[in-house]
Amino acid sequence: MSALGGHAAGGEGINPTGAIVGLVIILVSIGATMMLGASLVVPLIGIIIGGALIGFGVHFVPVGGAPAAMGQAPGIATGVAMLAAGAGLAGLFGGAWAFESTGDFFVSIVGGAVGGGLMMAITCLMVDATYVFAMGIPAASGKVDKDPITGDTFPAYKSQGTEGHGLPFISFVGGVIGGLIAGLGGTLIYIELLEVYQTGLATLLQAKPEAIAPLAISLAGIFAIGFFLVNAVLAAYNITGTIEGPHDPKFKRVPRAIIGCAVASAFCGFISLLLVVNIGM
Amino acid sequence: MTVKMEASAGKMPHNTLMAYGLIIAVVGTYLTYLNVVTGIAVFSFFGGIAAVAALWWGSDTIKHLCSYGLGTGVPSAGMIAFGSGALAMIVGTKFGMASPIVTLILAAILGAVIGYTANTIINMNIPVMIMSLVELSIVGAMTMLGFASMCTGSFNFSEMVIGSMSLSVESAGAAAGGAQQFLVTAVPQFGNSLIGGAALTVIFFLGAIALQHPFNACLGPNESQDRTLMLALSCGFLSMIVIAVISFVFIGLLAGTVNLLVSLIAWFYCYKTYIELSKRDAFAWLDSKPILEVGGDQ
Repeated sequence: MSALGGHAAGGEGINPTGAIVGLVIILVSIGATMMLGASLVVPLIGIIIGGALIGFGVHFVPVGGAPAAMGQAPGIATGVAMLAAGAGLAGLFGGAWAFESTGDFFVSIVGGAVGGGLMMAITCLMVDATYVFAMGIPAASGKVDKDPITGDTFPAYKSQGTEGHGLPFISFVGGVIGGLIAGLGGTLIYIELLEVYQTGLATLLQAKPEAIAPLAISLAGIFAIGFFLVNAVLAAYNITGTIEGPHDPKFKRVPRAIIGCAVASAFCGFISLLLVVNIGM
Repeated sequence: MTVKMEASAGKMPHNTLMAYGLIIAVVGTYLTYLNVVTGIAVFSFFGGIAAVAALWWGSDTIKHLCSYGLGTGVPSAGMIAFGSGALAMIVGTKFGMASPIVTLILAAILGAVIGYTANTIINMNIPVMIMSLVELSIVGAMTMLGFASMCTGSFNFSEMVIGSMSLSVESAGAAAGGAQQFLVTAVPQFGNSLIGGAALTVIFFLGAIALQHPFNACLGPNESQDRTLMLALSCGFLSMIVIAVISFVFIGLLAGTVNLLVSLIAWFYCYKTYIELSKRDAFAWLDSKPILEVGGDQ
């Protein structure tokens, strides 16, 4: 239906009113969290940074959508939300596994980044193999004439009437970087939430920390997935459709997505931290 | 953006549909409280009915939102609905009897903030954006709450996180007279509960698929509201069948069988009606012939 409605993006710039209101929402969320408990502020800031990283990382991923499936646009032939969810969840698994076996914060977030990057690298490789050997189309970007990394030229390979096709090397690299950053952000959110829930729920439900562990892990996992999807879809709304990677002119919109994702993460983070506060029940 | 596509105007207005969906979702979730009143868990299926009503309403909201050019595909709306709905639902269940209402309010606030972010900060400038994301967030939260209460027979946080109680026996030392005394305490087990066992993640994605599929499948020039909404009901009951199978673990054989029977019968009816409606709409295109290719000799 989107093809019928026309493009909806309101330009490239940042809306000053929106940015100021967003900043106020972030500050109010942090202030409200401080009222709940001073120890919850650091995790909330971790969640905000994680959300902003997800919004930033999604912009690197070469998303082609339906036109790419028909060989009429470069990129991976699916939507932003699906790709980002794939990379983010793979990163989340990697990070969660690393945290369980090592318990070290930095090893875990790097593990998450590697998980997300690996998933995107495998996806890009198989996409390239499918494009070249199954569909028989060469990689040609429509937005730049020359690959910024390899120096390959594109215009001679680009079919007429298309915006380019295939997956050029710069898009491949962008995809891996995007997976690394988004996986890192997702894992950061997961670990911050896990640490809060492990201590907070043990006090709230009056149980031993080891007994509460499966509950804390499940809750942190479900919330991390929720955060990831919200941030990835907001970034997707910012991209509005397809993007080729870091060399695409649409990449200039990224500050807007970082502000937006930080605002949404701040408020969602405040709601998710309400769980360990002794209200209701 | 001023272009708005009324794909199938003239049928049930969106606000009427929203009112029905919201009321059935809240009342249905509350009806699972009959489990507590009567002491048997056979009323759990009302939670599923509530969730399906929310999905039914959500499909129409997605139609309104996605008739503006989002550029990201219809499924992204389903994903953001459940991403924010999951947060509101889990936190909302902490409030005992008020849980469904609190879930609804939390989801509305969350949706409003995310809608404002998307519309103003990210500059989407779509008139229905904020309202649609408020509605979708409520749909996500009420669907998850409905399915979760169908699974566990309750909409309380404690019932969703405590799977079973195990007895812990500790020696309390020898009492006077030489008899050994034991201290027996009931210890809650969290790992085999709905949330602790992460069965809620299955609910999350079953709901998200059921929400994003109907309009994605039915959109196009001859989209008709009753067909899309019938597919929404059909998808909702299809997810409900899986939830009913999961519910055997938590609420026992009798209530689980009732859940399964209700969802199977409802799904069969809706799917059959959907196929009939599809045939009706396909027949309506019978006279619209393809453009004839004029050959060289004509």
